[in-house]
Amino acid sequence: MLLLEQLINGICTGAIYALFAVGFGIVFSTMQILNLAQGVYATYGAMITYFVLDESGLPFWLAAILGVIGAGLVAVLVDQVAFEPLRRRGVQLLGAVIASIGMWIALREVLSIATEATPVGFPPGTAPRGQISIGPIDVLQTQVLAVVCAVVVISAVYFLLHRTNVGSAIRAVGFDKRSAQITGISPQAMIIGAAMLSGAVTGLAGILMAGGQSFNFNLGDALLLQGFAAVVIGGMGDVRGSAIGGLFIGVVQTLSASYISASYQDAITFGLVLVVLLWRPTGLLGSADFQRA
Amino acid sequence: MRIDSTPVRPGPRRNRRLVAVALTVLAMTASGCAKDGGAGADGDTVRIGMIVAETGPIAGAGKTFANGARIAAAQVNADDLMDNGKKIELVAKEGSEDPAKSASVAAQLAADKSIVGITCCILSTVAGAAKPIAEKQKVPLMLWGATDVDLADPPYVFRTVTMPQPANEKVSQTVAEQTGIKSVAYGVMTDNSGIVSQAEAFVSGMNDAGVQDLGTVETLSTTTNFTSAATDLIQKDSDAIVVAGTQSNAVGLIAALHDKGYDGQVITGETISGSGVFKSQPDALASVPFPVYFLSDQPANDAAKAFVEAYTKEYGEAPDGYAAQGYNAIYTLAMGLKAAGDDTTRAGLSKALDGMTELKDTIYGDVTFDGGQLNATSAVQIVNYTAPDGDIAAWKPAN
Repeated sequence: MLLLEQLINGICTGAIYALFAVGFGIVFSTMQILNLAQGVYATYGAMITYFVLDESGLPFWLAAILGVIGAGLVAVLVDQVAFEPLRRRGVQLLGAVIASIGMWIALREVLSIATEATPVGFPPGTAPRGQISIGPIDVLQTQVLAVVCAVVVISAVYFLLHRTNVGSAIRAVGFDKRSAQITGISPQAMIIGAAMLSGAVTGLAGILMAGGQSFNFNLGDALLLQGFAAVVIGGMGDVRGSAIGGLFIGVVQTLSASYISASYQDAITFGLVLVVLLWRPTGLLGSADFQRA
Repeated sequence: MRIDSTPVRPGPRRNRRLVAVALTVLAMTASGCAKDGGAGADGDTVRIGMIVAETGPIAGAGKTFANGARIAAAQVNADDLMDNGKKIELVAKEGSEDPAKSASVAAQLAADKSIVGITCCILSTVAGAAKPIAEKQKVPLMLWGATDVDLADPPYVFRTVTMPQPANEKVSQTVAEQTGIKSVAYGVMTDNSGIVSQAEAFVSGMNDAGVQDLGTVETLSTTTNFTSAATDLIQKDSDAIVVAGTQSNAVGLIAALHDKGYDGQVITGETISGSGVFKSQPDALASVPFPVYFLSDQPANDAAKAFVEAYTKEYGEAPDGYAAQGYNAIYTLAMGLKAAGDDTTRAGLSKALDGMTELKDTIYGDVTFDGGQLNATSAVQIVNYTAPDGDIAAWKPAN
């Protein structure tokens, strides 16, 4: 019974990692940017939701939508302020990484000041709390919400990117900006759209992570490493791979903490990441590589 | 010879840039060292370095530590508590409670020979980084918040933080005796040596009360989802669960236990005290007992009352335990300087602090010093937050 409970915990945690990884992967595959400010989008999603709930009394779902939109706008802001000037100058991966670190620190400090670095939590009675019985297992409402959101949103993102003209245009810009432009696609519009989508999905991951617990301006930092690892395992540029990678990490971390030791969970998780990379350097489903960056 | 294709900028524009950069650097340099208290050092001023953490991951606590210290300096100066007509000037530098940054700041302060003492450090890792610098430069270092064992090391390193270990032992014993619990499990953040040391004190208290230990579940400082740890703890089916972690870690695990429906007794340490914490998880934190040395609602004496009034007037809220620790660090340094008489040098202060065995009428009441460590066990109170308003009241068993 404990194994089943912890497996469910792992899947639910993995669902959040998967969402984060999808957001992370969109940026990398579209713009070839290893964006270390990605974790901040998750924090902004959660914080905006918190402030809306605390100040306005709007229902949780509406506050969450505003949080998701807010996180998306923050991502667009970061892209236009930090990455667009570098793109214009033709600066490659390393410059963008350094710029993203700067944005990460700056945006995090804004939240630190806004919250006076104290932990916050969604006000009582606003976000889903408590448990739901599924057969013999009691599952937290927040966990059910995380899995449902992950399935719906990741499916929608996959559909958007692979079954619509807009998605084709985004992928075309990611593959070769100049060729896409020749065919009439606006790279600028697609990049802004991809940034918005990436920030929104990541913001949702932050909201789900924050649900039912205290959090502070550091919330997204912990997601960053897991999200990056999930993308690496799954394969850069493949939404399904990112989702599988996120679930894998969530389950491995949870089970290793429960059955071996929390002290070794990261060593075990990232050891397995290394094994996967040795076996399949492009990730489970990936075809992209760093050469493009 | 240029090898890129960037056009050469005209001279005046480049000069303007250089001037702008120079002015920026000057402004940054000027703001890097903020003086609390205004006037520069002179014969009537004693300068105390203060490594603050008003930005960074624990700025919430860091601000109250620093504010408590500022109130202490103001009171010492206003009431001439050093009894020599001299004034304390606090020289605050931001360390963000980052070991490397704080060590660098400690080195800067120690290099300034006009500074006779330094106070700092909430985290044990930061204290560990600052300690060798103070010892090497022979400048008294007063630790106000780091709780790892053996950090105090006279004649240069002293500690006024009211140690959580005796308080944790007391809360364990008291709760065990008054609730009749027979078994306990522990949720411990194991990647922080100070927290591990605090957890050992909980265990000791429970063992003394004859409570069966059903084992420990580990969490980490990087843990953001506590559902798995809560599941493991609940699986142990114990009458009580003790949670030992830093503030966000402890609150996160207590909230997860609450959400998972744990209905036994939850006990935790002083880390969950502090303004704003209750609001983040009111349902989970209400009625969870934890120990405090200082309670603004129940000041131990007139000194504590005066501190509460001054702090509330200045900052618009009552001081918490962290503010009290900041206050007490500066107050103890002031009493050391008073004992040093005319020799308000590093050596004089070090000698005076090393010889200090007790202090009367601190905000904790009368306290003693042993090996550079302040002891105030008699001041420990067991309290809990009360729903729905988050007031802190003396803890009483539910039944």
